[in-house]
Amino acid sequence: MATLRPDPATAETRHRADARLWRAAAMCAIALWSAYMLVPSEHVALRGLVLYPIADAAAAVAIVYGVRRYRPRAPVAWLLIAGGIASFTVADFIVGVLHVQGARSFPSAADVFYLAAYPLFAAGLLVASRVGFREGKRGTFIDAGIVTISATLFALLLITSRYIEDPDLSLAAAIFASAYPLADVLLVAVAVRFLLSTSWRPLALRLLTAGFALILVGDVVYSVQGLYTSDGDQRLADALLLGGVLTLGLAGLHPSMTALTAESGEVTLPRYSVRRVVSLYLISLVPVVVLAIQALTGNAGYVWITLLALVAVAALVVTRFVDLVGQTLLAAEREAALSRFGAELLFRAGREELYAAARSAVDELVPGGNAQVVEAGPDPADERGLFTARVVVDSKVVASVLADERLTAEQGTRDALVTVARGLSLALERDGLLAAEQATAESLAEQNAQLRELDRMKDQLVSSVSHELRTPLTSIGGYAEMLLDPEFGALNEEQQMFVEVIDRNSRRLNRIIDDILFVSRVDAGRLSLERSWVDLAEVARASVDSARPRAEHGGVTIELTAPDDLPPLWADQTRLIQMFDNVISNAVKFTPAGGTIEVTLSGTEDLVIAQIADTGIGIPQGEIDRLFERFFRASTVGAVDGTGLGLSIVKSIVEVHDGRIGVTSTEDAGTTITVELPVHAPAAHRSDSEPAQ
Amino acid sequence: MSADASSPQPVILIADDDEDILQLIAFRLERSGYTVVRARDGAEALQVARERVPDLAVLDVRMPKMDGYEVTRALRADEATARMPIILLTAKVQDGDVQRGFDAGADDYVRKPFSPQELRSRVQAILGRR
Repeated sequence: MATLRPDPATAETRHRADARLWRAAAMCAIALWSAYMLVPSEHVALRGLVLYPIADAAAAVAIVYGVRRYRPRAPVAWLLIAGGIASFTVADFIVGVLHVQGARSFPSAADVFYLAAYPLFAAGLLVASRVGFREGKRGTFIDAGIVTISATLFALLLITSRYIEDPDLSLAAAIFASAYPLADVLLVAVAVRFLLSTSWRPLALRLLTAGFALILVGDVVYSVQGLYTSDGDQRLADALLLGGVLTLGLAGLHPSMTALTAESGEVTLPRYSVRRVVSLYLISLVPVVVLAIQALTGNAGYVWITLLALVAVAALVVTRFVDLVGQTLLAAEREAALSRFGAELLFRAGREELYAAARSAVDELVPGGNAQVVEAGPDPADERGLFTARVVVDSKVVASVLADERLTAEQGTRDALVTVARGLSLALERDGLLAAEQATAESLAEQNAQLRELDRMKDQLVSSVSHELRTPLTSIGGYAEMLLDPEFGALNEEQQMFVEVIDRNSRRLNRIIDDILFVSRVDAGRLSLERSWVDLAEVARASVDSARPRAEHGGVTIELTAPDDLPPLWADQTRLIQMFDNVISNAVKFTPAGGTIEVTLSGTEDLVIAQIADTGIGIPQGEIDRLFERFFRASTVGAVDGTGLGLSIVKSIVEVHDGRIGVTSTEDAGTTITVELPVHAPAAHRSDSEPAQ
Repeated sequence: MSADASSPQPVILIADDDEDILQLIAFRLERSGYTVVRARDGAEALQVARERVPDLAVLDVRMPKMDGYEVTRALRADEATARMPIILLTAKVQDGDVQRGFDAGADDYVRKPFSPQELRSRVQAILGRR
């Protein structure tokens, strides 16, 4: 609701002013009432012409002022009540004048004004009932009917009948005298209807109730005293009536007076309670009691009317209980519809299905297409005269449950529709989350597939490029070799040197291609091992021997130390040769003239350890961790050629053999690479022992 | 299987779609005293092999029309060429490829890039065995 919120400080000040005003008014009311009661009966003019009319008028003015001050919805309800009090004021003034003149005629003009007040009160309460409340219309009418019939019977048999039967009263007097109890009955009926459909909590409403109660009791006392006593002192009735009017005035001046015509949402609607059922039951017994009294006193008059009232009340009570049972059944149906809906929400997924579930639930709750689920944001124009429950997802209204106002008078139906809207909100929100999650998972899976495909294409590319390179390389190396072959004619010394460079580089290029292919095979997981029992000492010796010429050429000594009892390894011999070749050729490359390379093998029961220690240029401390990375070349290698793949290949070979590799190095002092290989193959690799076909 | 009576030198069929490599092998083998017949694709290789029935065939694995494996299988299936020694040239290095070559019926394989001298040695070894 888009009401302007007053400034809290201002509201606080205003609140205090309201309270002060009401307290002052209450003091005045008590003072006026006390003054009237304390002034002796002899001061007829003071009491009848001044105090009583002033008190009446003050009450009416208080209500009008309250309406202006608190601005209730439908102020006409309060204004009608004020009108009733004004009518009382005029009547009381006329009575005062008559008393001063000493005339005590009945009926008089005053009675017209008195009687006019009751329809005004009743109208005020009716307006309040119509404006403020919707629930249980039928039920409150029936309850009010039961009370009204009982009260009418009571008034008819105990009061009105006396007037009608009194031979001393003129017809006019009898009619007017009878009219009072009947007017009271009218007020009782409306008041009961009102009270049954409202909350008693606000003080103004309690005061209003109390005021009308005082007036009604005052009327009864007045009538009874008039009938059964002869002294004519109406002090008690006057006190009650004056108190009632003043109480009404105070009700209208209390800040909570707006509750009389407040929207249903702001007032807690009464539910059907045990207390209410019991009271209705007791009230419905009134005709029976009256019948019993008549039977006991032997007064058989009006027995038909009493019986008629009894039947009417019984019919109303039955109707009420039938309604109650119907409501209970309806509530059970609603519960069933809601739990079905709850289950549907759990098992259905996707926007369309959830909406369909909500639609069928709404149709069950308000059948005949009088309620629907409308997708789209709020459109106030469409919702006029409709009950609306919002479907909210992520703080946005995405749909509305709309229903005919008249068909959703019952709070239970409304609550159920709100429950459907909330259930749908939650389900849609959950569904959105699931969909987002699924979309993410799908896009991740798609990306993964793309990445795998790209990776496969990369492997494929590397593989075919490498193969393609081998063909031209065959020509380059092959023709260079033939140029160097004296069989095809001698070259001069320079030509000889040039062709040697071509030959050497074509071999080098071939090695690089081998390395790249090896790495791509490791990446693709296609590095397969051909295992056999391998004597590592023999493998190391072969590598050392083949590296020796190059090492000696560079002035580097290379030595192998291996024990005789080294256990054999279950391994791929070709790969281990490749491993030693790579490590040793690396050592040779980076060891300056005069240095040494020591290859040392040792073994335990489970492990064979190979150490390749050189006295080379070493690796800077900060780069050791990166030594086995692909294409990594230490900053100290300078112009020495290499792909940077050699040691990463070594590491891959060690790892497929389930071994470990480590390195220690000191710059300008040397590097030691240690490889540990397990003697027995782990069970997972036993299958490799199957001989190749 | 023996050399043709009209040519005392052993005849060797070489098949490769790369002209330079074909020439390279031809130079090397002719210089070593063999008669060389050439083919530039698998189908031609098979045709020449059937017509000339050479003493040995050096076949590249990857050739147009028919690859080296197919030619090898076709030669092995033919009574006239079933016992012809075959050396496959392969740029592939995986064990599976070598195995495939032997399965098809090749006697030996040489990895590309190869040394012409090495190829000659293999040829001599096979022909010398006979």
